[in-house]
Amino acid sequence: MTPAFLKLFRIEFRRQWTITALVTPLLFLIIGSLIVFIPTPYTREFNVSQKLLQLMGFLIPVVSAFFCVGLVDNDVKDGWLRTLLVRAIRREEYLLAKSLSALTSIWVTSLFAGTLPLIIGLIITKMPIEFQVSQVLALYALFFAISLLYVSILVFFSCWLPGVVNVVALMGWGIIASALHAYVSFFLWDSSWAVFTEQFLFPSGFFDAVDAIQNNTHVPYIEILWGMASLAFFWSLSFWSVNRIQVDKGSE
Amino acid sequence: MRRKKLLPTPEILAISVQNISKTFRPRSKNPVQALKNVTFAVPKGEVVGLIGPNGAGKSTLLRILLGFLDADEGKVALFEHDPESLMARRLTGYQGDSQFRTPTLTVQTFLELHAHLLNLNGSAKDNIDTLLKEFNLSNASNFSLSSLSKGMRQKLELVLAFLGTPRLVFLDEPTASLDPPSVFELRDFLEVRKKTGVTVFFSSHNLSEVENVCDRVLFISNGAVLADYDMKKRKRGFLEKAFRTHLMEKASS
Amino acid sequence: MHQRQNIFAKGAAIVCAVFFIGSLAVDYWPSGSSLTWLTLEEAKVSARASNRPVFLDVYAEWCTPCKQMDRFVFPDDTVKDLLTRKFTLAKVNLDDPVWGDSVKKRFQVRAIPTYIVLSPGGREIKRHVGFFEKSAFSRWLGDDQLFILSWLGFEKARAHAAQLDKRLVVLVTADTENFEKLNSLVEIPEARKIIDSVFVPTVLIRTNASDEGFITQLGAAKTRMDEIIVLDREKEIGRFVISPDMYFNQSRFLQKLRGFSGNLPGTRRGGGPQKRISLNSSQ
Repeated sequence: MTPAFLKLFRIEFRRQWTITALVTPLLFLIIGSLIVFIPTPYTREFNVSQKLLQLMGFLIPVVSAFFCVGLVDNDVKDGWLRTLLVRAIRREEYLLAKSLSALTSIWVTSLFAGTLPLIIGLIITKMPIEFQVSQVLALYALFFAISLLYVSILVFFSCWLPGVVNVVALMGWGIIASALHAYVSFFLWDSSWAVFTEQFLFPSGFFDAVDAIQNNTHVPYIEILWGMASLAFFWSLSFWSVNRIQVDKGSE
Repeated sequence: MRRKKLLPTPEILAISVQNISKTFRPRSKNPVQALKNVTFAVPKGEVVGLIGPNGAGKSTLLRILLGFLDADEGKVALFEHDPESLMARRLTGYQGDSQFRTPTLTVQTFLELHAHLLNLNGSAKDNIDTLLKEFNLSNASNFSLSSLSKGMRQKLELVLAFLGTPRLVFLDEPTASLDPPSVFELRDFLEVRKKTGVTVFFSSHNLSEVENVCDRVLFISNGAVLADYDMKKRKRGFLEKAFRTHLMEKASS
Repeated sequence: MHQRQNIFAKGAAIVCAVFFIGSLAVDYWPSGSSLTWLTLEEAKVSARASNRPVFLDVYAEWCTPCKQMDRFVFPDDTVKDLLTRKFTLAKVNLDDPVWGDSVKKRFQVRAIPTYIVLSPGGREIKRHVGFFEKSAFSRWLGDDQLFILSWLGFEKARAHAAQLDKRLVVLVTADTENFEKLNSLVEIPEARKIIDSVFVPTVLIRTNASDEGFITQLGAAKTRMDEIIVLDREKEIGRFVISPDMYFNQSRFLQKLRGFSGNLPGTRRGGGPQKRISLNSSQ
């Protein structure tokens, strides 16, 4: 018997792909192509990992934001969640289906808009090609993990914040964390409490792992463990939140 | 040989409500007590109506019974289960007022999802077709959800409420957006369903509908259940008189 | 079963706790490097006695890249071999109440980890800031062949320039962090040719106490920018800042250098306005 959340996943996935959403991968494909094909100064080789980093570094956050805007709040507002919860389906199953559909949409779009320009670039480039398979695969895996993280945070925010505010909140958080990171690096680099606290300002485990892989510095075991801990933390918060929210806020 | 005396098994109530209260606390206004110590019970197979003036607490009570809203105090049970338990959900149907804004889903697909969630499987198609026919929505099965008129949305909600074999159905203003022919269809439909032993609890402003269909009527005002009328022996027009009486009493107090 | 049952929430919380504890355990697990580290003072004494340069590691217990170096780089056999064979090893904890602050000020440490190579006499030769990947670190440790490292100290270079009647080109730099990049400029074949034929090169480093006096007398800018000052018979004939774009647009650097090379020795006129600089011995 198919689990309820898988049945729901198919419907949620279909719900996401409106006419606007169908056009989106093409738009991102154009942007992805610009990133790959516009030559940067002083580049003497076609470094696949670097191009992938640039592409996915742009696509994953933007596409995640696009597919996760008001993910839960919109369903509460238009009564979709209430209609579903009349059935014998747990709230966590609803959230799982919702998140899975968002993630699938994100990955379909990112793979299409991210990999296609890269493949075309590889075929037509006249520069020497730098391509390490293990590095590229590791980067793909890490960006997949990063997309999971973004979805978990956006879902959590969407349980408590209205409409597009979940995306704005994440963007604002990221900007503030970057600014604080820069401040600590420049002015408080020798302060143990500042450096220690700054590590917890934003869940950066997977991003640090990407840096380590990209620069071939070391195998980022600790960074990945941190990333997994923060991922599990936000998923736990999201599932807890969906069990707390009122699906029908109205009063007479 | 001594025979053991069997104690009579207490009948399982479809709805059991004990002392529930609910207060809303809007940000910039004073708290509003929507329900005060409401207590009643609905046995299986009964059709119960809930009437009252605007702001009496009808929708709040309905939402609490369905588990969409948490009561501040008191207990609610549907067939002795918590309203939000999966067991209660399997036995319950609900007609509300959803927006259905999704342009990419058709009525058929939407109903098939709910049929899947009810584990109807093979019998799903027949069940859906029958209900669509009964509510005159067969021609709309390929319409997208967002293109439905208000009346068609209401009928779709009714189809959802009766999909599968619910033992308890909640209806919230079921005739609000329906044209007269559709109201008659609903009345006939409920008469037929009553005979299958399904319990129906519905809130409505349409007093004649309530009189025609209900076995019992609860009158709620200012968050309290003021009266519980057995409709089997009442004449037509009784509810209107009762309503006016309550309103005069309220005005004089 | 209830609609609001927290099965996944609890499961995810447990997974979070497991990964969190796991990452702490791995992070704080002792890294077991078998290198012997001395204090800076001990290392200076040992270095003078053995005529080996000092490898100084400025770190802190709470510094993540420092721990990564201890875990992934220092245990490497090639790195270990180079460090033990070529250097006297010294470690200074930034939080050390006695040495932390003084080392920070003395060497103008701006981030950790900072790795500094000091000559047996205590002059800074080169430095690197931040995590250093294994193979790059090994190359850096083993590389004595930087052209810039072969340049004479200021006073010797000045005497040499006077003896050969050549111009003195003084590279003033804040510290040795940029040495590899600077070396890449002066190693451009044409630059190398000009330097070898026309100049006696030398370098003054702001973190070297012995260079401070000369830097002040030359009136070098107090910024962290790398600067080239050209002297002809103790007179300044010009100076220019090595801007970051010169590393990409090397022709600009060559153009500046050519501008101060003037004619071959014997007929030296050219370059900018000349200023007599009074250069005393180092203080």
